[in-house]
Amino acid sequence: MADNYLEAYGKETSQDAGERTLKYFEDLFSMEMPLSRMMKMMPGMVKFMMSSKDTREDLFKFMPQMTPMIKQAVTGK
Amino acid sequence: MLEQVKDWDDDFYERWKPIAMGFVNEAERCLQCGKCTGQCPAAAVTPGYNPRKLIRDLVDGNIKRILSSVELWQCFFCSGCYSTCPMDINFPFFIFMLRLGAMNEGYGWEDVKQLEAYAEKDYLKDGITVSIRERNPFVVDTVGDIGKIREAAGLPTKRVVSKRGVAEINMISDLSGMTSFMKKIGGVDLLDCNTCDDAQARRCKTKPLPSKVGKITTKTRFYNYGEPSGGKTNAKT
Ligand code: SF4
Ligand code: SF4
Repeated sequence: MADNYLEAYGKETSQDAGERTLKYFEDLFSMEMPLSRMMKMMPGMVKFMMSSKDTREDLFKFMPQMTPMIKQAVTGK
Repeated sequence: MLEQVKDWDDDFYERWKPIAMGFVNEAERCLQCGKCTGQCPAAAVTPGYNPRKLIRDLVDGNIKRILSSVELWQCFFCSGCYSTCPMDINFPFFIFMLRLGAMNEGYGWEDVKQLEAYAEKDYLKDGITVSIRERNPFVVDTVGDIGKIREAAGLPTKRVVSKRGVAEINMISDLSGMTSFMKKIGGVDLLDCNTCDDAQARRCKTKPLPSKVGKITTKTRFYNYGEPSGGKTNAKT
């Protein structure tokens, strides 16, 4: 096992590690809504909707705002 | 092997800068005055920890050293450094972002792993953000955990959160990706080797890391900023 971080990274430079980190942040801060991301959100909304009549009504109030987002995720446009 | 102070191109730096400097209010303005370290409670009990050096490495481009360090995980977000910094550098936010970066590289998972148990028991199930289960054995032995302190004050052991509140917390966690993040982590409690019993030892955090968390291969961190020294000994002197 490596003794220190220089050994652990081997030939890789800070730029290599930095590029990976930069790519990660780009994905993290991306405003795009791919279908996979949308699907991950669904269980939360369904759970919220099912928990009471009150929450169901609340969620439906947001439908007009959410519809374009869902449409974008499904059609990719 | 010699350590290089700067092993990246200026071209990369130009792309990195808007993000890195964005979240620390222009770290390049850091004077290296050391006021942040001077007042840092974490640095007071752990002399190996030094916020000033972390900022210096960020500006110098020594990313490898920051990401793979144990020290990156020793800040506890009190924000004292931010309020004392003459150049208004938001150090805690820098730590927060770089921890995410470190996890992406496979470092620090032994520290985040312990959150899962609390996330499930307290946060997602009961909607409580500050766990009543105190982890410091010294505190548990002397004053008891937060639950006991609450009972002594005549309050219910756990703060009571409405059903709707819990539903909202669950939805926010799902929408923000928190739930899926928590699912990635293995739940292990943080324990003290000097005081723990057999049952605790079985759940010990010194167990080897899982080799993979999601698509990430986990790695062991290093003390990159000096010899580690015990918090207890230093706290006494
Ligand atoms: S207090 Fe601010 S300017 Fe001084 S070393 Fe710390 S981050 Fe740099
Ligand atoms: S926020 Fe972190 S680095 Fe800053 S003073 Fe507090 S513990 Fe130290």
